Amino acid sequence: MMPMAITMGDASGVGPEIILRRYAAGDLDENVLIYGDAEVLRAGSELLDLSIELNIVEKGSEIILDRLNIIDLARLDKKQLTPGLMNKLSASAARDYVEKATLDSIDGIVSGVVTMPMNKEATQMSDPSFIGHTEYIAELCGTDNFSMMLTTKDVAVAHISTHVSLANAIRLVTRERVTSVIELTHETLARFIPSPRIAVCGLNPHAGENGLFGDEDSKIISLAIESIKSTGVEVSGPFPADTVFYQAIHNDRYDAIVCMYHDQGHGPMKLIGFESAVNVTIGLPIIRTSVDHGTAFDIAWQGKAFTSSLGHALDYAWKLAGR
Amino acid sequence: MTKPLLAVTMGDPAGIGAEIVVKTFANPEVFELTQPFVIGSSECLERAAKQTGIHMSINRVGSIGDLKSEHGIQVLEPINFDGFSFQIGEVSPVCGHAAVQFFETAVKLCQSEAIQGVVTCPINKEAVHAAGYHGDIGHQEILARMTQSKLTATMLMTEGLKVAHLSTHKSLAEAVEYVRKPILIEKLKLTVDSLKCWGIANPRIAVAALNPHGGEGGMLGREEIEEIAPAVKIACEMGMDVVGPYPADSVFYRATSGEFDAVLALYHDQGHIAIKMHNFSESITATMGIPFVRTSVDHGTAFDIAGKNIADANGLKKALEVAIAMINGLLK
Repeated sequence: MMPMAITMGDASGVGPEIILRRYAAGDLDENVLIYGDAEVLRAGSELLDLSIELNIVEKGSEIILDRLNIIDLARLDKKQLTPGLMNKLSASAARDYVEKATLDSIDGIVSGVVTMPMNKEATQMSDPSFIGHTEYIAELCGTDNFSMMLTTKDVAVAHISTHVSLANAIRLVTRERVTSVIELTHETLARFIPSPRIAVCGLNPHAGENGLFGDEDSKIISLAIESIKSTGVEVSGPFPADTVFYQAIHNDRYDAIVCMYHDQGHGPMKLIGFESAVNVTIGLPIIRTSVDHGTAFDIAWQGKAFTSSLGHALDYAWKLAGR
Repeated sequence: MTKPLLAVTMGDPAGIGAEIVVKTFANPEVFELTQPFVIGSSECLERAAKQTGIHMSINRVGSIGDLKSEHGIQVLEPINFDGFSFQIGEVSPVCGHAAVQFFETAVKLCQSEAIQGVVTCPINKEAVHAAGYHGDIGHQEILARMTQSKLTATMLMTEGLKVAHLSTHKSLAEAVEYVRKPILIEKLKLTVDSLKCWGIANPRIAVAALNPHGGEGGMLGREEIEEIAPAVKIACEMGMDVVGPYPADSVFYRATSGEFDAVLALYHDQGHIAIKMHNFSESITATMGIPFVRTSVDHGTAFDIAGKNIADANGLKKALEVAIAMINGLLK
């Protein structure tokens, strides 16, 4: 199989540090290709006192299994390794790694892309129109029909909307959008679960209690569920959001939950535990997973950051790729 | 009688109320700091004792004055209720009527200060409606009607997490509209006053944010800037220890690690999701804004499992423990 791309992320943050530490510990899959800056990784290895041999992969050349293989975008020199500082250059370089990896993934040169964190504020210093990592990738892929899915070992949680105000999130609960996110969720999980069981959350308390507390549940969400169910997909709901997570996690009732807004999914997932969480973008023509943490400037390059999230994100990407 | 008196209402006789009462009263700990007794039907309790195989004394008392300081179940029967006149697990007007009578009796006793508090087992909305109480959807509405309290609200509690709600039974769109400075301040004051009264001397309250990431500086909604932060500031100026708004996907986690005594959630699911994820089986509710203690289990009548001896009584045990702590001003 083609290697899996890992974008290095903002060099001021924990991204490259985590890649180096995992590799040095022998915990990084051999068939990966880093998209980043070789000089930063070399300087970073020194900083962390690790001895790591890089192999710079040129166009058309093969990866070497006992090296850390990198597509070197050569955007930064070692002076730009500024741990914990907002750095316009390292932020803008991070965006370029993502661009190159995404385009290579579309071309089939890599099996998919695992992204390390970018810093939104720092990226906006050079690109004020930058809204977010996921939105940027979606734009490169030419799609606006995507959704953010959080996964843990127990359950996958897709969202109707994420980065909008709650008032706007309510307006985005349309029959078309709910239908589409249920379909994307099914399509994603069906790659490795024969008949994924999908639960859909209601929008209102007690899923509206028969129209007593709002009619979106009965007039919009129910209809979307019914129409997809008739195509043979195992989907049910709308369920009260405060019990459905318990049913999925403790009683293994569902493989996936579709949430109506950001906090409905993120709230419970954060209470379950940060460690095994992976962020998956569904609806793209490529595979994309991401670690579930930010640049963590406050602890960057201090050898403190947990490295497990990269392992989980990589495993999930390979699972989606069918390995 | 020197110990405070605490009534436990049996709830809808067709539900799991009698069963969880029997299971809970079998635990001697509940008699340590208060004298609990039941308002309900002795026939139902006897049947539940038989089904659960729990041997304990079940004695009828004619009035509060007849209560003795002892273990076992002492039951006050405010109405002549035929324990064999209905089907377990089915909605019926006779059970709906009985459930309301049990609770109204308890509220009156609390109001006359004959007893110090009440713990409620679930009633069934449909049965209450069928019995002709059209305005009374649940305990909360009955309490509001009987106490004439202008402002009552529910606090959800489980081990290590307490959550008050700005609104509960509103559509999400209405709940968003409800996020306004004066309402926030009023609910914060109610929360702080209630916790003080129950034994937490200087409660620290965190307010959850409404929008993702707490609105991200106004990019994802302006309620944090225009309503919530100013309300927090005013509450602090009034002498309350209030912080926030903090993003909803971290504020509850921080509360469970002891950073705050309670969280003010801004809509039903925000608080309920957190409580149920934290501890599903032992979550309970307490009523704020009434002049006596009232706690309740946080589950329904569970008609589907009634009479089968499989109901989990942990919720009622917890509701009793919390009520006892509140009455004694020892809530932690």
